[in-house]
Amino acid sequence: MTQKKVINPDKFIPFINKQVLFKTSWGLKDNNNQDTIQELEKAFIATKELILSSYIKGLVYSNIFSVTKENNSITFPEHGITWEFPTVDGKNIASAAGNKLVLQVVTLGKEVLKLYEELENQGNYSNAFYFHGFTTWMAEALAQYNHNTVRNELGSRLPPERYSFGYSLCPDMSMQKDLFKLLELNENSEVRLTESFMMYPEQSTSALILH
Amino acid sequence: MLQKHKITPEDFKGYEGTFEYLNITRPDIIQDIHKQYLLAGAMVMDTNSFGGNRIKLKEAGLENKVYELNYAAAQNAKEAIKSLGIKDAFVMGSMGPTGFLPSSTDPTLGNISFNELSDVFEEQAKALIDGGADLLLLETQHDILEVKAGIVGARKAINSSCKEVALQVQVTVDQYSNMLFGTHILTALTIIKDMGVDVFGINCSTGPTEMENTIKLLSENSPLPISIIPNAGMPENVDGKAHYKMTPELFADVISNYLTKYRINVIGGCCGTTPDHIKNVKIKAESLKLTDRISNPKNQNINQLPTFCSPISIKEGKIAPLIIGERINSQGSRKAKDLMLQDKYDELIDLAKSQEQQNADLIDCCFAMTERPDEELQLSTFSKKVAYTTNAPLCFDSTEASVLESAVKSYAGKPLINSINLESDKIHQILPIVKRFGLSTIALCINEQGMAKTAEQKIAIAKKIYNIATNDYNLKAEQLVFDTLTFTLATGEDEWKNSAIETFEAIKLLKKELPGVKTVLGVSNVSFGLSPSARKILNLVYLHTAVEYGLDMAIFNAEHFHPISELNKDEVALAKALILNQGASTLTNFIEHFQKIEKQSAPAKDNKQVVTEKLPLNKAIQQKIITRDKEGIVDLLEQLRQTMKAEEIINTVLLPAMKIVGDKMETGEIILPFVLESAEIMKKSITHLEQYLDKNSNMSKGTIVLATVFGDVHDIGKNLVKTITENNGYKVIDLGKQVPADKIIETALTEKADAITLSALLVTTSKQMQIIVEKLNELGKKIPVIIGGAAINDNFAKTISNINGKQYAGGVFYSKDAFSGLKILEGIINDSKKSH
Repeated sequence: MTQKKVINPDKFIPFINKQVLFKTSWGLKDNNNQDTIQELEKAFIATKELILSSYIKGLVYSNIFSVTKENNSITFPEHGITWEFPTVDGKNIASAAGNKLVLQVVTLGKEVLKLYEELENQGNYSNAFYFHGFTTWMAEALAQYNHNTVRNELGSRLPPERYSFGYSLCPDMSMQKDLFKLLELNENSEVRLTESFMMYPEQSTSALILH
Repeated sequence: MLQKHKITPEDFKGYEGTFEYLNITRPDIIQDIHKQYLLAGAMVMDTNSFGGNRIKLKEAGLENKVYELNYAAAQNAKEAIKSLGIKDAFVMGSMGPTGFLPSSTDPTLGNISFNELSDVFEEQAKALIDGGADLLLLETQHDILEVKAGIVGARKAINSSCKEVALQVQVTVDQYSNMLFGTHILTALTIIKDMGVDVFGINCSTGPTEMENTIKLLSENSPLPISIIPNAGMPENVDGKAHYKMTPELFADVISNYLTKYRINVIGGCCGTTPDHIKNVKIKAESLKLTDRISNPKNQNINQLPTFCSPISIKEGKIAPLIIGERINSQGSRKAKDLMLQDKYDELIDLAKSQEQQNADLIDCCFAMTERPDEELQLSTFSKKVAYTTNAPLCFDSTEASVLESAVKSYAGKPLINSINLESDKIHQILPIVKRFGLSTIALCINEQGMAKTAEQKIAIAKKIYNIATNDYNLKAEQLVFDTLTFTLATGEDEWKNSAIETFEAIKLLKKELPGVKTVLGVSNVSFGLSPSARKILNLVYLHTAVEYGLDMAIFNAEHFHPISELNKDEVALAKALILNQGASTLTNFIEHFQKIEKQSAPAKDNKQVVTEKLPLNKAIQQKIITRDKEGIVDLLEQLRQTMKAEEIINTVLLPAMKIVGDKMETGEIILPFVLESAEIMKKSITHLEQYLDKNSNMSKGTIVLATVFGDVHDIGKNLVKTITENNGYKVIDLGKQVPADKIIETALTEKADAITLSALLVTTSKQMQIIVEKLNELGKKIPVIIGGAAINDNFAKTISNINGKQYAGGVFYSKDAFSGLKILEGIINDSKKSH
């Protein structure tokens, strides 16, 4: 059974990597001065307060699956699904995996879209921009937060390994269709897939956790 | 003694110099010598089989006589005892060294495997036992790895013989108590003491005087009975032959002095000692009327984990915990793994040495990885090489019994095994190795159900492992090191909030309920998921707190170890609150503290307070936009409107201000969100001025239709283009995200758009851009298309603008961001003006 958890944002917002948020989403450059950083710190607090006073929640869908492995593929025997993985720099997800695999999808749900559109429509461009970057990294923080819990549940002692679809070791986005099937997610869920297998709202991440 | 008998070349039957051969050609002489010693008072007869192993006999071409010669050697001693009718004398089967030095990396001397060596000793031992040996003696040993092989071989022979045969082991040390390669006597003692040895001591090399220091050390530390078999003084070279000049009287005086001072259980004579020496010793010893010699040593805590050479690797007086350096780990360190993949052993040894310098007490070694099938070979090769250069003992980290066994056999020191648990049957493969080599092992509190979470569950599993180890495999409590498991405290979930407390309680209970066992924790997992600066503090405070509960060892990055007194008190308190679950929001408090630290490094300053009052009105308005200061903008606009038309204000004041903002963004002076704030003021200004604009005037510089393509939900890029373009004087018709191609084209045509601007994030969705260009081409339209997004580049624009070898008439332009899009748009509008 897929586990569904609802998590309050105050629990996982602390896991947002501020440096990464500032640099990759909020446009901070190495040559920007301290004043700029200070302004972004203020924006961080303001955006956090906005989110904590909203209806936004973190939603987690995850389950542990028993899998079998052969060469570069992983099979979910109960579901008749097989995934092939490419080998990059000598690394292959299938060969690194054990006989248990955790699949996880996290999202901030439809509520995040409403709030973003509201800000855009009000002409509140900068706050909309801050909100967008903040919530994008909130989804990542939520993935990290749940990974922490999953590791304790699995009893992982090995270094953490979490892979998302669309990156070099797991490039095939269409696997997300299987992923949603395995986690019993559908059109009515708080997160859904587009025709090109992207998650919607984009403040969502999916992952394969080896340990 | 043999040399004193007149032995002729015929006695050797062509095998001159192989004294073991005399066991079958001249048993009369051998038995006669035994008798002389028995009559002198000796109670144990060392057989004439010192060089009787297969390797030594092969030098004489007698490798097929191993059994026959050793059997006869034991028989001769037995016959001598029998013929004199002595009841309480014993036959001791002598086994000397093979001549190989297995722990050496010398291509000749070191070229023998552990298994070959132990087979050689097993073969010799079996023949001696069959011939009637009551005990076996491994003597004059130089290399501790050969000693280990000898013990394993001899034990095998004893176990399969179904007889009660004791095993005595003697190494040869110099006057400083070191063996040939520097292995100290206490190191040797610790390595062999749990391997099934009954008596341990020294023989040969020196006379009794030079042995005193070694005897003292053994007497104070050895839990085993001690044997001392010196030469008759130091050998002196007389005409190329060794002569031993210590008189029987002096020899006996020195030895009897030791007997009163030290715990010695077996005494005897090696090179140069005659029946007279033995006789004198016997008389002196008996006159002392010594009673029980088997007593406990003064030092009970003989180091459990020595290496090849270092006498005591654990620093004197060092307070717990021992640090097990964690960096030579294929699964924890990218650097180490790369070195392993390239077989760079020298660099790996450097990594071991650097950890030792950072005060690591042991070095964990894990070579397991999916990329290579030869973990066993790699770990063994590394172990043999590193033993020479590193004093810290190794901790072999593998789940495979075969890997562990090979590594143990290659390593001259005494490693710690990492690890066993109750998850599978592997415990029954690994514990026999631990027993055979007298090692210690880490035991994880894990069973078939997984990792134990509560102290109660941890104790239950530990006790089960303890019972298996001590009952089924006869291990001592001190050979077990329990890991009560570390979970990350970064979950914030109630279920895990007490996990550290449960782990610590288990340590305390274990040490109370299973006296003698040790404990260990892998520390770094406790902070998994936190920032590097937070991790450092949490790991250290967790470690120090665990020590307060009795923790003995920790797997840890030695470089990061500091005493708690060196840490910031507030940070220690926050970490402690989190670890011991004292109060609400301990996790958030802890994390936020480390975020505040980062913030403090950025001094507060508000750059928005720029004086605008004294500037002329048009400049003051521009300043408001550039410095993102909303306050009073409408008032300023109203004042300016007294002298300037709304249309002129927009064109000569507002739009140039936005241009300056764009330039500042380009030079890196400001960042994107600040541009957006300026755009907000711009929008507010234009909205205010709209009421004054001439209804018929067209203020717009041009029109674009904007969309995120079909299948794509990412609209942050598109929205930025909208904001920037609109506030630079263009009309933007925003169709939103996931917009089908036909709708985009239709709108562009009805609105007479000057350009279509499209956004897409992924390679897959960017194909929609190609579809739109192709459709426009089919319809014979010439609307320019501007494209952008993470997977888009100049080449892609060129590719899709080429349709069957012809360029799309409207052109396809790649724009890296909203600002370059604005420039492209300006170019398009200027070109179309020129062509009109």
